[in-house]
Amino acid sequence: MLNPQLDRRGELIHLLTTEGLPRRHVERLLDTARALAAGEPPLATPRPVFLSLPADDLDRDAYAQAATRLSLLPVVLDAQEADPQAGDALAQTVSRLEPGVLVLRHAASGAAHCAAAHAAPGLRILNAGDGVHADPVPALARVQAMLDIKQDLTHLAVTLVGDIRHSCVARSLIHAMTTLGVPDVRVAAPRTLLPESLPQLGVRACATLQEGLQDADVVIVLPLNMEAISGALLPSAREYAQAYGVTLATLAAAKPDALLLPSGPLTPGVEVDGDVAASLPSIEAQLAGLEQQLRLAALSVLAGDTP
Amino acid sequence: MRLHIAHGRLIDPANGVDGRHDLFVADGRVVAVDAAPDGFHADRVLDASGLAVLPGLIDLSARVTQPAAGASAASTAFAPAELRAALAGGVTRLVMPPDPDGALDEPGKVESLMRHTEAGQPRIHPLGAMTVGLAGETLTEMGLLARAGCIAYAQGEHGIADTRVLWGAMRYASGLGHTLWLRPQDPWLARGAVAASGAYAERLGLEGLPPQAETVALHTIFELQRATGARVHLTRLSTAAGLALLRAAKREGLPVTADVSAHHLHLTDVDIGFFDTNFHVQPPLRGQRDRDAIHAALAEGLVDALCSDHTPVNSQGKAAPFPLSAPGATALELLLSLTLKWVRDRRQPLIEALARVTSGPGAVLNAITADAAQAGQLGVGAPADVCLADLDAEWLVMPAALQSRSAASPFAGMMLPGRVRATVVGGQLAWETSV
Repeated sequence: MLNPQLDRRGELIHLLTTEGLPRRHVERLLDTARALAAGEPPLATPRPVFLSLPADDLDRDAYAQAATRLSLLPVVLDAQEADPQAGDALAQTVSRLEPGVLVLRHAASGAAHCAAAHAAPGLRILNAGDGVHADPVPALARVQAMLDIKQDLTHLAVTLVGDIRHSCVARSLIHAMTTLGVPDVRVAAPRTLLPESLPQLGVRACATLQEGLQDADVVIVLPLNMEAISGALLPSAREYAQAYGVTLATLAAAKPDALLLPSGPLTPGVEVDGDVAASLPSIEAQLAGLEQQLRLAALSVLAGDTP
Repeated sequence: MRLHIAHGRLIDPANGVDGRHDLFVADGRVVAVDAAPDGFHADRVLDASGLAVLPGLIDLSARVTQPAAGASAASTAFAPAELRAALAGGVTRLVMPPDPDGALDEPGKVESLMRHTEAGQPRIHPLGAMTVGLAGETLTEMGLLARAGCIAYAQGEHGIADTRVLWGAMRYASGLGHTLWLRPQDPWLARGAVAASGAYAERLGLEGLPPQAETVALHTIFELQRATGARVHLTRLSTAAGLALLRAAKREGLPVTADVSAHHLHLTDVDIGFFDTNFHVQPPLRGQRDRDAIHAALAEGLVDALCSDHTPVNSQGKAAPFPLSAPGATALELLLSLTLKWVRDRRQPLIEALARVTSGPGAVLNAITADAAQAGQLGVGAPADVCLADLDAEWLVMPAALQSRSAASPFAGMMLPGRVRATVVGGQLAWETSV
């Protein structure tokens, strides 16, 4: 079975997921992001970058800025052209687009693969989040942060805390970390928010937050979106905070120099307490910068490979 | 028409026949095997040299009305392409599950549909809706539906949420001597599910259907059967745990029969690969252990029949992200080949395997409708429904070359064994290929 994000020579033609993405491509994206941050010259050939993200999504502006910086041409696709619920609308849209890159965020898992399968010749797909399946760019940004701060990933214990089941970033992060050799990946969350297949993902489930944080080098806290979670899975944010809210006291179980990374916007008093939240702005700013570098890198690699 | 089917290898599982025998047909029935009756003069002699002569295949789940996209409840009609697909697949008799867009929930609809049946078509047994509009609230007029041609009553794909209605349906059907035809699935556990729960669905971020959706429903059905005595046919069982419950129910003596689909006999959830929507079927493809259990249950006869679960889906329906794509696959033309693939892959005795698509489903139907007497066999007096097939042929499944209007098949591009060369329905040659 051919990996749809690679061509027959094994080169990256779409960025759909970090699962099954060969290590050299992960490293190339990370290296390209670093090089672009250091001021590498932008691409010379202007190509369109189609943006299919919700209008109120800040990432749409971020991708537009990244495209402009690379001398690419951002083109916002209106909502009608990529109606997420309209059956084959996505396939119709991508089959008509001219060569370039489509940045796609979609509510359905597998939408990016669907777009890649029906894409017009020369159109590359950059998955900016498909349902709860994958969101490679923010995941790679967090890996980059770990590399920048911890240098070597191959001795780290990394704990993800929160709603892994409904997180596309968490899935992409787990695959990226295991590809790059992180030896100990754990998760801590209420059982209803954990996938059933953790051992197959190379991940260890911890019964309590305390167990999960014990001697952790990196703690990644996932946002809790109560609106998206069925009441059959979690009774309330208050109950969640009581058992899985990260506090300075619970963090004491981790290593003294443990790195705390939010995987999205956190609510003080829910995923983290006020004291922990107060410590986050600097790392959040750093992550925002890294995410933008990864957007540049992904666009650069995909647009550069466009024939 | 009087037919003499000569020089073929007659395989008739119901009568334990597998050998070189000629078949003589008159007035739509088999009138003799081996030696022609006195005064028999054939209008046509079919030379079956090198071919197997089988009872026409019986498919317990095949949708052959117009695809939902272009149909409305008022205009439900048979789709000629799907009927051709049946004949091209050697299927001479099929059971048609309710179409959610045009469920047969009142006698007029059944009569209107059945008026379109013609000689030379496969024999079609429609299932009536168990509740009006398949809404799961009000029982349909089962007695009148039966008179119009329905052989049993089904609730479609989504199961029935109100157990009291199911209880009522069982008591009512039991009182009339009718059968319920149920796909066991708890609708609450199935809500939003598009893949079997497990490692693969989790990796793909797809909402999973737990096996308990099937077993919870089965426990309910069996418990209500104990209370009401209703006869039930369970269609498309998909889990090892569900089959274990079926075994216990049969051992207990509950009046229950069952089928499984050819997709679930051959495929598992990992075949979905990178969100390949051709593998989006209902119930979803399950794991290796479930597939092994399906194979074992079919081999030992715990499961009575192998069905195609033929569900035409147009290309628009499949050109969508996996959760939004339409479930279903075209399979009528593949049923014999998928049976023979099972023989080859799992080293099954040929005659036993063919029984699951001929005499096995024939017995299921024979028990619930007089219209299916001697269905699925070729003894003297049986309906002359015959499939002539080259069991040694290999063919490449090319969707564009299939008769069905639907090109969606998980077996597209695969080489499969066995090819139907001619199909006879009621003594009439209904399909013939010169290739």
